[in-house]
Amino acid sequence: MDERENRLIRQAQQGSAGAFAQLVAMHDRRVLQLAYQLLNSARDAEDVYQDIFLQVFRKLSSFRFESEFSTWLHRIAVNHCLNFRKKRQLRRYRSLESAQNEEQDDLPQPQDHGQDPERMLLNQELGERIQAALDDLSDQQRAVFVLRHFHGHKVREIAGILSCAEGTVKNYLFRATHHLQKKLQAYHEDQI
Amino acid sequence: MKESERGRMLLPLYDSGELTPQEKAEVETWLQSEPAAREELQALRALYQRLQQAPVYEPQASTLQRLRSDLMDKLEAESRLPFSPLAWLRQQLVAGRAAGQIGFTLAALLVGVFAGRQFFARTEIVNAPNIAPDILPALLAQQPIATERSVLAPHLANVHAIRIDAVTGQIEIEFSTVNNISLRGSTEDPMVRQVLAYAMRQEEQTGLRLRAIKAAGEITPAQMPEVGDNELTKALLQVLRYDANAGVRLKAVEALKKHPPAEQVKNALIQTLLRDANSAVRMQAIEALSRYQSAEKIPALETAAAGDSNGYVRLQAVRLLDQSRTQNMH
Repeated sequence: MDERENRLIRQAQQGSAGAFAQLVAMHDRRVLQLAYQLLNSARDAEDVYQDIFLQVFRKLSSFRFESEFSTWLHRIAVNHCLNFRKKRQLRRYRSLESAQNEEQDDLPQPQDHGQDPERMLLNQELGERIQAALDDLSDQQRAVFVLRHFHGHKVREIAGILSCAEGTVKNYLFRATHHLQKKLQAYHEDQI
Repeated sequence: MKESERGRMLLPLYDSGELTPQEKAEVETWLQSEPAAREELQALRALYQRLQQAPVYEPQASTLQRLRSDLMDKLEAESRLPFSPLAWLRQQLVAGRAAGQIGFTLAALLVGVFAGRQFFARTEIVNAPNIAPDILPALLAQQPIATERSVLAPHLANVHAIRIDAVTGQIEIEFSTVNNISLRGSTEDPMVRQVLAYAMRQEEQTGLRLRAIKAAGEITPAQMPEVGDNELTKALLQVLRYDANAGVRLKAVEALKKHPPAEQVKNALIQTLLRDANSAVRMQAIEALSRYQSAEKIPALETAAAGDSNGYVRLQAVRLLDQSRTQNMH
């Protein structure tokens, strides 16, 4: 763990709001991306952002430097996102408004890095397909896949984040990967 | 498990260097024995390549800035006025106001309910990291605790487990300290405002969110703190932006109409007029905007007049634009 981060955590644990703000700024982009990947909605990811970091603030004193801070933080984020998904399903049942009003700007915007427009559009569509395929997975499988492939966590860390055995993580990862392969294969064949 | 099944399950981690030597050997044996296995590995590598090509959701800098700012506001509000029965009770205890009321209620309650009315000498909090031992008696107090403006009536919540040590006779009880609390007071009371704001933001039941908003609309301008310090207005603005239920958003605009005009409210109403998917909410927003004599609303009104899907909103936008032009002429 880097020394600067350690120092900030200790200062924040002692009540420094400035140190906490710096910690947030170091990690919130990744947390927001993680929330988006788990919730498939930018609006919901923004909603859950506040709850995640409020919880981090309240629990920071219990962080004992026994794991990477990012792993500890992602554990809180994943738990919040999984709970949020459950509540959202309930709310959608109850609400008169259905998912038809989901914002259009939820989708990741293509980044212009000098790519040709057609490639950008294809990649954009690929991103949407991946997100849709992730949405089909169970909460645990999705979390394992996202943490592994988009956030580079190791199996051992994912097991810690999700409080399950490493063998279970491997099993989820296999199932999720297999599902993504099938879905993207179908998309690839459609294109041909 | 067959060799092929085992190999297939471990294959996603083959390139990662995370397999144990034994697992790696298993996968390699399978890869060498079956050509189809090598094809599966190639397909998997192609998938990983595609995953890397896909665009990643990249939040805008302004979004992060706004979220950070909202977060710091919340943290500041929380530290200034914690909405926490625990914190409140701790304050009361420190001040000595409630200490006389709580006595040995804990011992009596535990003995009466869980230990078959047997007396035991010592209560040890084994695993309750969030509860200071001196707070526990207050959490279990059965008598309402009154302040100048509010009444708190804590109750014992769920008991999860009871374990009896046959050797020592000690009883270990796990129970929830999330109590049902009755809070009575007016919107003058900061704690009432805090709870209403919490209900608007967090409550699952639409009916309760609506009632919280209605109560927030009852606040009189004289009772209203500055918007920057006003948890109720902030919560209403958040509801207006994020609540999934159009009826709730509609009530939030109605409540905001009763609040004194403020810059943040005006901006939120402009955004609602431009972005809200529900025409009834946009209708209320444009009505509420009629109170503001600001040039900043003009572009939004022009957009609404030209392209809103609802006839009433277009009509109101044209009327307000005419009014603005007439006022400018004078």
